[in-house]
Amino acid sequence: MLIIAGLGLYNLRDISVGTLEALRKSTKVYVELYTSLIPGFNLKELERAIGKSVQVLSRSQLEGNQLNQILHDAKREDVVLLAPGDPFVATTHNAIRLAAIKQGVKVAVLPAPSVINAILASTGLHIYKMGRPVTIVRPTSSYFPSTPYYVFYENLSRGLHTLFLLDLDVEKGYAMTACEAVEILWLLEKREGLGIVGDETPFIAVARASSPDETVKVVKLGEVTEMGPPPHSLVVPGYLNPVEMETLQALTGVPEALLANWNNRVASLMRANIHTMGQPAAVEV
Amino acid sequence: MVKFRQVEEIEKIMRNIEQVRNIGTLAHVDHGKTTTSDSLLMAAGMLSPKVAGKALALDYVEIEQLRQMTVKAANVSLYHEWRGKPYVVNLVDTPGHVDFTGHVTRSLRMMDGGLVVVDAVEGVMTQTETVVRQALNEYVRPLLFINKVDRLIKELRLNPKEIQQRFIEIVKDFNMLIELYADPEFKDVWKVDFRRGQVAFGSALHKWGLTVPIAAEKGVKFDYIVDAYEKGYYEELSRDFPLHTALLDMIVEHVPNPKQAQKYRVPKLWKGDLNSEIGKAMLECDPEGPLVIAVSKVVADPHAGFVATGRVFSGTARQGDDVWLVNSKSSARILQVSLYMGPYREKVDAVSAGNIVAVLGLDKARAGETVVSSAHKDSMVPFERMSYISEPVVTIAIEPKHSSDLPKLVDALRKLAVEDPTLKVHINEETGEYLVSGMGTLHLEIVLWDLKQRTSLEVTTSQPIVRYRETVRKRSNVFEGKSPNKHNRLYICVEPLNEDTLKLLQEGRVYADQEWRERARLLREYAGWDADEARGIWDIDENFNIFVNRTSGVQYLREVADTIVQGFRWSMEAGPLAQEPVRGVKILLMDAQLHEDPAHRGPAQIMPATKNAIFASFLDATPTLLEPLMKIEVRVPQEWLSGVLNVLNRHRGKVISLEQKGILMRVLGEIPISETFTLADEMREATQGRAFWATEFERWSPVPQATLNDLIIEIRKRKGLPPRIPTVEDFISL
Repeated sequence: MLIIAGLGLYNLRDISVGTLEALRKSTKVYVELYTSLIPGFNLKELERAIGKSVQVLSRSQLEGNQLNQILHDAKREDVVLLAPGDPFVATTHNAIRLAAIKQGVKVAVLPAPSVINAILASTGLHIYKMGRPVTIVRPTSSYFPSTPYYVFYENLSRGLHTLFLLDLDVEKGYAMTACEAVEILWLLEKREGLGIVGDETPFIAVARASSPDETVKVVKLGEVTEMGPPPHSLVVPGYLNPVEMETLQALTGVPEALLANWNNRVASLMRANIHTMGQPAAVEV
Repeated sequence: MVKFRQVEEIEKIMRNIEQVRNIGTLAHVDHGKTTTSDSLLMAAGMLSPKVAGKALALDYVEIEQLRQMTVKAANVSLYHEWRGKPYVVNLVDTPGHVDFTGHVTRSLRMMDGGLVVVDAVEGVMTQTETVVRQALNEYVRPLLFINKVDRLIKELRLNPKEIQQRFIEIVKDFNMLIELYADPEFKDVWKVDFRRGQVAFGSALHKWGLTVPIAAEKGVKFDYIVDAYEKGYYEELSRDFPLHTALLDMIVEHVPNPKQAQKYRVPKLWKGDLNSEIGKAMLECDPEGPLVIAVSKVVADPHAGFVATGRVFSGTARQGDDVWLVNSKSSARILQVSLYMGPYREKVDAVSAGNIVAVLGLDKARAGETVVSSAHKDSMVPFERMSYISEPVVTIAIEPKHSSDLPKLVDALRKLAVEDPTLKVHINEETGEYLVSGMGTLHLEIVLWDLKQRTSLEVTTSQPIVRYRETVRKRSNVFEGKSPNKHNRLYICVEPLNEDTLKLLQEGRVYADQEWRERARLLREYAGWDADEARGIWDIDENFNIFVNRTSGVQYLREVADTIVQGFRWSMEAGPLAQEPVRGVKILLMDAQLHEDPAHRGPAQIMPATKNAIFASFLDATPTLLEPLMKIEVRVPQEWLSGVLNVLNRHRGKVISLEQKGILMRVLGEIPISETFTLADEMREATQGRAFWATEFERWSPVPQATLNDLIIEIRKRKGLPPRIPTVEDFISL
């Protein structure tokens, strides 16, 4: 059997009792560490905790030939594949599950905390009003997608919050910072020009969500805010209800005026789009 | 006595356009082009009469003297008096070997007339035909010089009547080429006629020449010439009938001046609006008009930087002029303006419309660049792209003996590639070798020699390797290409481009950054393309593959278009059979599914997806290798013919025609380039050295089916690839 399990966000703390048991019982354990950073993670510590060695897989191994070997083994014994966060949330390991099913290998999934739910705790925003999450990628001369900007716009038009995941290249040692992400959104604003990124936009930066040293701050366009080591994420609220507003102020110290002003902007966007979107806004204004 | 002319004098005449001619010499290899040019230089007082005929002044690169061939075009401004009036003849020297047709084509733009040198014994040969055709394509008027008449007398022992007969045959063949290749407008007026002084004959080696009118004027008959050779006083011929007089008289009288020539050449060579300010000025060859220079050549000078040589089509080039380089989209300032006086550049104040100029300061200019005064940068349409018929067919790997010399080597190769756009330099990423590709083995030998002269680097090189191409022979099914993360799916099929499309690409009439409506129109009208496909072209690469988007309404496709194009280019650089470049394939993107999140559809995902889909389709479309096929022409006495045919037979050669040409048999055939490396020795052995022969690149041809698989495996082994031919399944994953 192939057991796909999540490692969570911080360190061994996030491994469930069920996952721990599966790890101890299994014959082989693999881990991929390229889809996200786990700040407190230590491979040796994990190996000690489960009493066996763990093989780290690179992207090319897991997307390439190595997968067949793993599935081959999983036909006869229990093999665990560990992934940062929850294995089926931000990065979906569905391709692996599908390959397993096609080869007649049984699959079990063991969940773990994901940045998607951690961010709700970090900011106090409600899940009921989350829009589509989207990744901001580091622009190159041939690939500078506008998708993050338009997802943000669509979410705002319906009053929804936007979680921006930030580009990461573990093999090259690159992790985008929240400030960098704001700069990229500003470049997109200049290119696309819908007027949603500016001085009034309340960018909420979250570093190391759910860790003991989690940092949540308001980032202003054009200013450098020290957030500490990665991983970072960025949230921009949509239309805030009073509880969300209070919590945000309490957690981040964001001035009430900024949020109130932003709420007005979002409300007018929602009104402007309520007729053109073809579907009712998630929040009545 | 020939007077030595001062630069100032030449400059003065150049400003009077009726007294300017731009010409070049064109010939089959070894027909005596360079000796002919030297006779002309002698007239300009640049070489003493004794030296001309031996010095080969234009071949100032030493290797060219060794090989008796001119490799790189040099230029010189000559002075000539005709009917009491002074003229400046700008002589553009051109290469004599077809390995370098790129140089020839570029030179042609500079000249209005071409002096075609034909060996009296060998007659009109393959490359004569090639150069005449190229000249006519660029609206250059060809005139004929029948050279090596001494050989007719001394070697073939022809009598005056037979000599005359020989001349008539050559003129007939020559006029046939004009009939075949000239624009209808010029077919009749450009045919040459003995009586009108449009054909010269003589011996460049012995420096004498005549035209019929000159001979009549001087009362000289063939008997006299034959007698001069038989009795050994032929040296007097050069005194009485100097070659340069015959040639320059003919040129001044029958080559149109730049103003006349630009009237019909500009509308053919330039696509801009003829009624615009620039258009009118170029038609009129107006020295007061906006400055326009068509650059034909760029050379790295160790002291001066890059020297760009070109023709001023309108306006006047002066030091300090601010100019705009249309193709490289950059501005520059002219630092110096000069003329060519033999191998030297002479600095002058100004060079006006209709003349050839050497310019310093245009470091970003490359051969084929259009330079315009910066005031007109927005209104200038560049000269049409010069069309290069040749594609690199042979490669050598090169590395320095001492690895610390690598930067020097790289720098030198880069400069050589700037000067010679037919030379391609690239790095093998896996081995770190520098690969240099050229038009033939000789071309590469000369490049290596040049490299050594310039850098005195010690290098090691590999054996010449034939560059094959990979292509397909039928349309494939549609295949799905998945990204490594399996979230992105591209649906692609491939098919061979038809001959008409390849022709448009080779001629440079259809290209990547062309205005799309114009391109679509050409493809529809001349190559039978479907209108939707012609509209959907995303990219065309340099090996003549076209990527077409046939999808509509695919979400996020616009964002990954550049990445897909990168994947297309990557796939075309090294095909699936043996990692040889792909040629002549149309790739159709039929559908696509892309991940919602940009992080999951970056280049690392999309490029492999593109490649997988293309390669799977490619392998389904009856893939094959193309090999360079050379045209071969052999002239050989009848009794040695069978020897020649045997040699051709042994080397997969095909005889296309056999023809009696006077005392010689003319064999026209085709032979794969891979079979030509030992041809020289074998041909000599089989005919005791009696065969004259030459080859030039003809076309790409599928390798015989029977040897295809072995050849693929052989190339794969050489490259260190698994010795197994990939299959469709290798590129479609679960």
